[in-house]
Amino acid sequence: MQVKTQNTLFKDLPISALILNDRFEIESYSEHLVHEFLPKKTELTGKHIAEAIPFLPSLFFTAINDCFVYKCGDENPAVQYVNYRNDIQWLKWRITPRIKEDKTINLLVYLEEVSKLKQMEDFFTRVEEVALVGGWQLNIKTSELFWTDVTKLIHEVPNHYAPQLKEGLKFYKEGEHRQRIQQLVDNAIKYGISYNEELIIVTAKGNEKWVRAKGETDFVNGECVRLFGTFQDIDKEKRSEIAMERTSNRLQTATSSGRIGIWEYEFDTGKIIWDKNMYSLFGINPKSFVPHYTTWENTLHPEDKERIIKDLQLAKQGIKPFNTEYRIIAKYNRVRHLKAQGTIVYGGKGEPTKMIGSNWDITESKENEARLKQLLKVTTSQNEGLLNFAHIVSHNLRSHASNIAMLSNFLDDDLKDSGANSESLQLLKTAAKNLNETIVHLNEVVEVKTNATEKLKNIAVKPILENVLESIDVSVKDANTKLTHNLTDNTKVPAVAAYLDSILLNLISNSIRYKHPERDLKLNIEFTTNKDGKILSIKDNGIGINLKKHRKKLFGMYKTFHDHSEARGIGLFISKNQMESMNGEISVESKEGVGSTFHLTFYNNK
Amino acid sequence: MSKLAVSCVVDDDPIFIFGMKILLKKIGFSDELLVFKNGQEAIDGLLERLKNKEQLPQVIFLDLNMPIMDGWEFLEDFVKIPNHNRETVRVYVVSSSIDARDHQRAKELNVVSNYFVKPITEEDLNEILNNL
Repeated sequence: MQVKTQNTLFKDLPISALILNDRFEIESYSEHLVHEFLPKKTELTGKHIAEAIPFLPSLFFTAINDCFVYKCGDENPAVQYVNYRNDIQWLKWRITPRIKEDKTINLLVYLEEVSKLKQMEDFFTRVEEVALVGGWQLNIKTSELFWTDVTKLIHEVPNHYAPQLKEGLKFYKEGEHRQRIQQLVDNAIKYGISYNEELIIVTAKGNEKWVRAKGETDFVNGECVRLFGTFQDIDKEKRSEIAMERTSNRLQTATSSGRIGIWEYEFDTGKIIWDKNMYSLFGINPKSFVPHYTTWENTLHPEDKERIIKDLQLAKQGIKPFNTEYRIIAKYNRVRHLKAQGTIVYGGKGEPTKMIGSNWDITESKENEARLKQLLKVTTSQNEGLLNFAHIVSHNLRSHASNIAMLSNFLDDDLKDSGANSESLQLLKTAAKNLNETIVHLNEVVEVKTNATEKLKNIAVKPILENVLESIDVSVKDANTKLTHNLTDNTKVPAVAAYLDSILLNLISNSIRYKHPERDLKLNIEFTTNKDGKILSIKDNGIGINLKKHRKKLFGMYKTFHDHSEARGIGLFISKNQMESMNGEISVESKEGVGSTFHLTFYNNK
Repeated sequence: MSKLAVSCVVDDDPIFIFGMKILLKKIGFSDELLVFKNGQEAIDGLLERLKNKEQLPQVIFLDLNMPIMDGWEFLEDFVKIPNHNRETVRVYVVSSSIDARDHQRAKELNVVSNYFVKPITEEDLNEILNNL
């Protein structure tokens, strides 16, 4: 009766259960078992388990065998098997032995098909693995933190790792990331605010990783009981996103600071797309912009329109790349010069579909170019004017001056013949002679061409010096000149021979003219080079120049610095002009009573 | 009796001609002095003399800057005069030009014997006579 009752109770159990004796025969079972595991109602009492439900996994049969032998129970959450419908399913079992006198007399077996549950779980695990999304949950009451395998994988901790709440947060990178997660977790627990944030963690192996941490909360009676969420490895994506952002920031900075506009033009629809810079280049308000080809065409300068449209056609036909310059009428009717380049994009059938290109403003350089041309024109015409002036001086002024000189000579002769002499006539003669000389000097100044640099050649200095000395041989000897120099046959400077001759003649003549009255003239000509060029220094022991007083005026026109009858003061002015026209420089060192040194610097090609 | 029979001045400047006349006379440069006011007059005058079988001047003082036909153009036409006599004529450029380009250009012409910058002096004229 008792057994009967027990059996009845057993039969009605809402789970699949059975009792096996030591011969593996079913002593009793629940109806649920039949319903869950067998195709139709069958009487199972007394049947061998392998006969009753033959398709159970072999692992299960091994298990029940072991349970009898080892007097133990067994449990398995899921073992795959194929059921009577040939579906692949999972079986969960729990086996409890009943032991009497140290012998297993029977087994209580609980079975459950866990397929759906298991499938979902399996699916999630796989999704986790594929998406590298881990799960986690925190029981607020017990502070128990649970991580799924993928979460552990992301943190690079072993599978047996048991996370602690405090430890968990320490994986976040120190500083803003850790502070942020702390704040997010706090807010979630306090106010139930869920979060979704991209943060950096430092894994157990010390690798920095970008993760997306999501958190949700469960509240019971106004109190947070559970915090759970996902944990996703987004390192690769994030890093490429950051790299991408940097690149595009750079590009944007480059295009906007270079005022480069980017555009796109679809041929069949006439649609155009402009970036921000294009609007500012064209001075068009983006809000009033009609994104069509005609909008662009309407801005073209009337003189350039035809040519540009043709250029565009040629580019479209693949005849000539679109690389051109044109003018537009921008805001306030201002003409801007634009440079344009474009590339054709072809469709699947090789037909041109659109053009992508760039524009940038070259107005300034265009205007500068024009200004330079204008300047050059002015300079050229002024230069011509100067030459004309030289011509006038040379021909017209000179002829009058020479006539005066000639006539004053005749007057002088006439008066001499008559035995008389007039002081004023002598003065007139001198004045006429000086006028003549002045005009000659003036002409020389004007003739020093500013473009002499084109004619610069490497000139040997020594022959020129010898030539100069020969031409003033008498005065050189008169001054008892002792000349030393370090010039060799190979000493050359970039110069115009006639100018170098004139400069040396002028400087040496000056040295002779302003020689110290109490000593013989010593001249030293020294050649040196430095990284910028070549230097000729002409040093004398003459009376010297008071540079404090005269430095500024030294190379000016008609300045003399000595109370000296022969001082005329144009030579240095001419020398300076000649040096400058040869791209060179003249400078001076001097001490009154000791002597002067003039340095001629010839710069290397600039 | 002067040193030369005929000399010639080609210049448009009356003051210069006045001066030359005085100087030439003073040193007894030539018996006869031909004066032309520009290159064209000079060419015409010289051709006229050839036609009349008259002697060409032994020395010509030639200005460069003149109206109608300047000194350079005169020289171009002058060398085309087909006469042996012409080759014995010495041409001296006497100009107020101190432009180096003029000097250079004159130097390159065989027909020009020398270049004098005005004012020409007694010494210059004597030197010419000595070099003949």
